[in-house]
Amino acid sequence: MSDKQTPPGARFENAISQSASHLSDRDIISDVAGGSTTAFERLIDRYLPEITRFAAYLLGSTDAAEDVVQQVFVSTWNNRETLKPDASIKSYLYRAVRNRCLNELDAREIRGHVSLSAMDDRGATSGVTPGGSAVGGVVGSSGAVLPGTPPEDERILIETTVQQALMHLPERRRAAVNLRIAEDFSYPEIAQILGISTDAAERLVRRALVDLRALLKEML
Amino acid sequence: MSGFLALGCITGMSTNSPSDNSHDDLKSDIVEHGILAQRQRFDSVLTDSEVTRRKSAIMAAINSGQANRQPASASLNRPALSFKSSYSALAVLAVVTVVAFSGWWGSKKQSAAGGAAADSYVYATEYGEQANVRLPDGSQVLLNVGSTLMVPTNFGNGSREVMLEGEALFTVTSLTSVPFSVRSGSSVTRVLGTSFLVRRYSADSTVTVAVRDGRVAVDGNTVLGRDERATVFNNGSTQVDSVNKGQFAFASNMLLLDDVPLSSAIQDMNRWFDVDIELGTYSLGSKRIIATFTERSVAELAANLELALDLKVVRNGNKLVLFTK
Repeated sequence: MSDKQTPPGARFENAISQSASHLSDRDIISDVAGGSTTAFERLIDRYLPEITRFAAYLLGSTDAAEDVVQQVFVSTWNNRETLKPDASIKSYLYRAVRNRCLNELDAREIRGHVSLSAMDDRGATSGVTPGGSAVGGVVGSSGAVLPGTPPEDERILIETTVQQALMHLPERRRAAVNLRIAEDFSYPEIAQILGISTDAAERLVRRALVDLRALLKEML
Repeated sequence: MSGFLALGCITGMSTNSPSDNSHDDLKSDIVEHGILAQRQRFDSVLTDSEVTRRKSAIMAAINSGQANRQPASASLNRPALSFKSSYSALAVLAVVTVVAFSGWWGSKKQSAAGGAAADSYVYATEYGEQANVRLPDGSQVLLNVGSTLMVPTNFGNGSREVMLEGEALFTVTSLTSVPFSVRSGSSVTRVLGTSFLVRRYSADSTVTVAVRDGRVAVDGNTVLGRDERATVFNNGSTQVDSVNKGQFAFASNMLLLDDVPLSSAIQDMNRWFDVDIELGTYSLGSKRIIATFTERSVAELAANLELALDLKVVRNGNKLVLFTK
């Protein structure tokens, strides 16, 4: 990873692992490779927040990111003897997270279809569904309701719409634009994580922004 | 709204080359604002205690290493356990979820038995999806939306204990001398033969046990009869009252909301319809809702909410944002 700018996630690192902050990744990895769970906990402290965010950018929520990040750390531990202290553990973690997210996104596509058909035939097979009319009915209510504040409504609407639009982008563009803007990664860093050239990383971010603006115009 | 649209168009046209130098020009852009807002939203979830919780889960998974190596998919072919519905969907899900939960199960099991971590079968439903699970002893479990049931591979050998996160209706018919127990959160419900539900979603701060038929013991000290309900709080105290209307409605494939605040009904509707409802106007959360849903049509949900609660729903796919009119 490039050292020419502030390391992404630095705020988190400093906040949660001050005591271990003087240790380099290389020291930590040597200890992890030797089987130290204490060192492994330091590695988790150092990288869990930022790679959880990265997975969340790809999957759409921090909940969905939890399984992926856990799998990556468990597999890193299981393969600890093959870790190389000279290689960037950070790049390794980001790439591992991305690979698992891609699997998860593929599985979602498959599962989406499966779930739909499962929903369709559930009534026929489960024996617990008496069938039924459409929505049975909603009966309204009263309750003290303060007048809404339109600017706040619009802000939330636009934020949620941007987040929706992000999920419509191809995965690589979504990854690139989030790393650039939300995480302030340099293009060489993004290139390394995505396994592409620096120029290609720059193009991805630019295209993502164009796409997002077009999507927003359509959605709002 | 029109003001924001105009802003979006203007800034959208004026900046299109996000190299490192022109990056600052984008600060005013609503797209960038939205991306940064999303990071903030993620960060607000990842509090120090949440990070610690996730770290503990990883360390627990590592410490019960052998549980991870058991292939979950193989266990699904065993005839002792069968799905009545959603078989293929569950098969996919079970593979996905077993890794995430094996550590949790493993650590629970270790503290309970003091021995090696036990392997377990994992049954999970997605939002908007229910499933029937038949256990090896013939007991039936109707798993409600967004729930996970874990059954140890040695179920029936001296103990019949399962673990639940979410909500399920258990019908324990076989009267053997081995008690049947459900562990959910920190509570254990023990029965011999009866029909009862246990509910504790991860977002719930309490465990609810409600009895439809027979008698059950909750945490060894509270005995419940038919139509009685116990609520177990985090501090261990227990409150007993009667089941409410709609307590068992999900077993008839109905979501019944009986005069509850919208703020607390949102989670139930999210799980039932597999949607993501947000309050655009926070004060709407205090409105009370009485509703029966028998179908999972998001369009109908939106239309009915608008009509009955006199509000405006902005829908975007599965996301519904509620505003005052």
